[in-house]
Amino acid sequence: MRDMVEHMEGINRLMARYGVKFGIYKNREFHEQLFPFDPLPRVIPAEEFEYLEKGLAQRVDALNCFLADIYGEKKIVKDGVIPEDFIFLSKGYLPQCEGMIPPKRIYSHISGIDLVQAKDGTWYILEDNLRIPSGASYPMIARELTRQASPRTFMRNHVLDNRNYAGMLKEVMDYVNTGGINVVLTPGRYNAAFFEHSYLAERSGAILAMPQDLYVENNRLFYRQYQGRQLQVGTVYRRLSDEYLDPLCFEPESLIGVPGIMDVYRSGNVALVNAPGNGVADDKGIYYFVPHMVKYYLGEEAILRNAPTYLAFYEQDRRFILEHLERLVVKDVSEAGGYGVVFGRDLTKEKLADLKEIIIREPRRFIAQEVIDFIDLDIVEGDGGVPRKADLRAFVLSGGRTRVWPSGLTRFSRNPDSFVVNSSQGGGFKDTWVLSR
Amino acid sequence: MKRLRFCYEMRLTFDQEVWEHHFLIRCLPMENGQQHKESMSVKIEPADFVNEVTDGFGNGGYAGSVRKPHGSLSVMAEGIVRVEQSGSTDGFHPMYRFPSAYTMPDEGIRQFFGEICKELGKSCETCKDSREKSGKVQGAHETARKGCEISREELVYMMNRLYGRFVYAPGTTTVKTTAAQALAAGQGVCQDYAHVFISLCRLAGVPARYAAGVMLGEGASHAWVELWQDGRWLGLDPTNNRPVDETYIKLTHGRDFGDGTIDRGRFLGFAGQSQKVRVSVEEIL
Amino acid sequence: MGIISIEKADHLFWLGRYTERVFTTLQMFFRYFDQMLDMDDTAYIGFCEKLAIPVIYENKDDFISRYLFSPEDPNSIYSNMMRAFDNAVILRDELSSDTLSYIQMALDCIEHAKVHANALVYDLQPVKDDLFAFWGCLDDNVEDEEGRNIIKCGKYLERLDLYMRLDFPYPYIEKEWNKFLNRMHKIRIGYQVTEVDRLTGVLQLGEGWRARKQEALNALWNIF
Repeated sequence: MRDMVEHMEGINRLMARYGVKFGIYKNREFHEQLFPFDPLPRVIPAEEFEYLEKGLAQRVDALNCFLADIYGEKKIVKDGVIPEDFIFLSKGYLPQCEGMIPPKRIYSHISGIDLVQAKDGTWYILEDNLRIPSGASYPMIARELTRQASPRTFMRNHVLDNRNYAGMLKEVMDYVNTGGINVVLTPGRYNAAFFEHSYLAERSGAILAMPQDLYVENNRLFYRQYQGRQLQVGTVYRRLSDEYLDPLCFEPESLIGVPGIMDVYRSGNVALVNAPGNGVADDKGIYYFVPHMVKYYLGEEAILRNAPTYLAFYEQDRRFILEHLERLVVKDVSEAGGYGVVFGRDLTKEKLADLKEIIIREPRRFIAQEVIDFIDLDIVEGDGGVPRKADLRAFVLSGGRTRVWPSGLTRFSRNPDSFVVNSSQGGGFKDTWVLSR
Repeated sequence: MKRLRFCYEMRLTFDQEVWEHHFLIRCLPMENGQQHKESMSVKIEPADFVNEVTDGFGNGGYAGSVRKPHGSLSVMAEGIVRVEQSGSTDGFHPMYRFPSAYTMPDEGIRQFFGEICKELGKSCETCKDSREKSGKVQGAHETARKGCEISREELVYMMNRLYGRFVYAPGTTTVKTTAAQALAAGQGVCQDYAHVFISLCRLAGVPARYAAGVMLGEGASHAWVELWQDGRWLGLDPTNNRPVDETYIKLTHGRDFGDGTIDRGRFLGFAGQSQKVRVSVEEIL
Repeated sequence: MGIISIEKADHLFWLGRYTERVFTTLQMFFRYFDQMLDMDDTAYIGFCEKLAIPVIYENKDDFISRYLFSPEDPNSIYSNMMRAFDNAVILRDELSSDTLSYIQMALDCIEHAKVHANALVYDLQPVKDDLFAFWGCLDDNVEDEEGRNIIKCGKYLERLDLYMRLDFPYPYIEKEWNKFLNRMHKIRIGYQVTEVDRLTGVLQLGEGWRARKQEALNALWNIF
């Protein structure tokens, strides 16, 4: 590990050379900045990964069953396992997707599951991202570059190669393909994750497409070639959010998007990765019910735990939340990206009282969780290491079977007092090593 | 039962040529237990292709595109429809219990709802909660679970009250006006009547959906409300303060106006557009 | 790959033009810069006039700093490099990350030199090196001939334009014209035959072409 630190300058130079960046909007202007990389990896022993792998695949399988159920029969609601409110009031529930059956019946092909490890070693799920989880490209290229800059490190350690992510992605795209080429659909150059879109396209051999490159004709989707030849598209790995995907189906004023693409999808003539409407399965409210889904659909106990969560919607939980607010973290279910998160311990008496009032008035809007004292990981600062909070985004790919990428994006907070690791809020990233033995 | 001759004409005119024009037109009578198309023909010009499509709400339509520059688009649909008096039983969905973008209740709507409850002597928990609780996400949650005993007569009473409170005034609202805004202004068109009424019904725990269509006579398209009562959809037309009968032909439905838009499109070009719609429905005796 | 959309074809073409513009104008800048060291303080005015860019610069120092580095000056080397980058960055899947990295490094070099340079020619030399490497990498890494030809079409068209404006000797111009024609026939973008014929006619005059310079330039601009 020490030689990784010694080679840090070389690594950073390579990162700059390959433009490993993400975009942010500051004062409405688009800026790209290097995604701060810390060379000390998170290391996951083989045995531990085996456990995570089982738990994550189980969770994602259950979530896929749930999505198929919600946009189909809705048995889980009829059986009273999940209250209707958490489905039909969710922003992520899209009635436009009712009755659609995606190719090979897969809804969440690429799932980004965020976990943390508590000081006692227990892993907890923090949240599921089933829409367009980003981040896999960063550890992929970081590995490529650290192997160049610090080759001996990799001779000595037994680290599973993670650069096969693009291959796994291609396998999924090929598996659901309805006949035609694979494209990665990016909203454009000024998207925060544009680097990732273009990098994944390159590495998976897919075509990077902008919305205007695609068009619908006679219920099929085509890529507009400059010589005028028609080229059918079979899979769209779209990095465009649902509401902008098709102005004829969703947000009518969207200028991006491919008009008519949803009709092609409904006809089964193209695969959309991930399926539109997945948001119903990954908001903070539905999170509470995921272990119930595992039981309901798979008849198994959930292997991986949720952080202990209370739902203000249920009277008993609400009473508990109001009594223990000081020690809990409260999350607004309609927010994402690290926003709408409040720690009870940081609030003054008045603020606590205000929050209680809002919770009583709008119980559906909040969940509360026990604060998990998760382990710190060292990051390099100056000549030494300093401990910082970090989480892990694991990538689970569902194609012919459900596989967990043997790596992941480890994000850390650069601020010593903060638990918020999101890159949009100044966090950095580490590579994640899964050991082969 | 009535047999109706149906004719829908729409013409979009652009003041400059546009291109890459994609459209979705849903101008055909729906096929369900209440309505049956005996014959129907549709012409859309110009168009490179036209495909028949269906959406998640069960609305049918025609999707197509015109890639070459053009100055107008015209749609002509006509045929004969048989309409029954009884309500249809198709497409019940729990989403119709919950507030939607256009029908989110605000304090004004809750207050109005409270007045009506009081007049009806309703004091059940559901209505009380709906009146007192507010907030963005909450809204209908208690009602959705408990439901509320409210009779058909009481729903008609609610429609009467809305009719008395609201003034029909074309041009005072837009396609973006919400139920809350419309009630606050106290005026609007059929779309606004329908939105406010839907909002009230959902507060009462009655699943309600927005219906767009046409009615006997000549003019523009119309909108009304369908309520789920005793296993079937009951149509009420708050704009005219009357129940929907076999002189109405439904084209689309959804949670609110946004879901059932009769025509949608996107084109490239810097043109201004104007739309002319002419609908005529006459009874065949 | 051989799968190129209309948009991508456009970006490939302009990528060729902007990389060439940066390369050749930087090279010429060095020549004028040398003159301005101790011979002619106003040499830059002639440079601007030849390129038909407005002389917005107050003096030679102002010219040196703004023409090289100003993001606000649309004619600056930096602005052109930025445009090359903008076109390249959306072509990653076509070009490969390795090829693209040279454009990134050329851009980073200019940004670095803006703050740290003390010996301009020396400090900016890597920009030329990176562009050479980019073109070489392109030939080596990009399998698709069509894409390469489109870039080269843009590149030689731009080069011709600059050589003609900057009064390069006739043999240079003739050579670039032939290189351009060779590529132009290989891509499937429509071109104006009459303009090609007109320019061919003018260039057949040898050194005498200069008498009809404006006509030649117009023809060149109207080919696509």
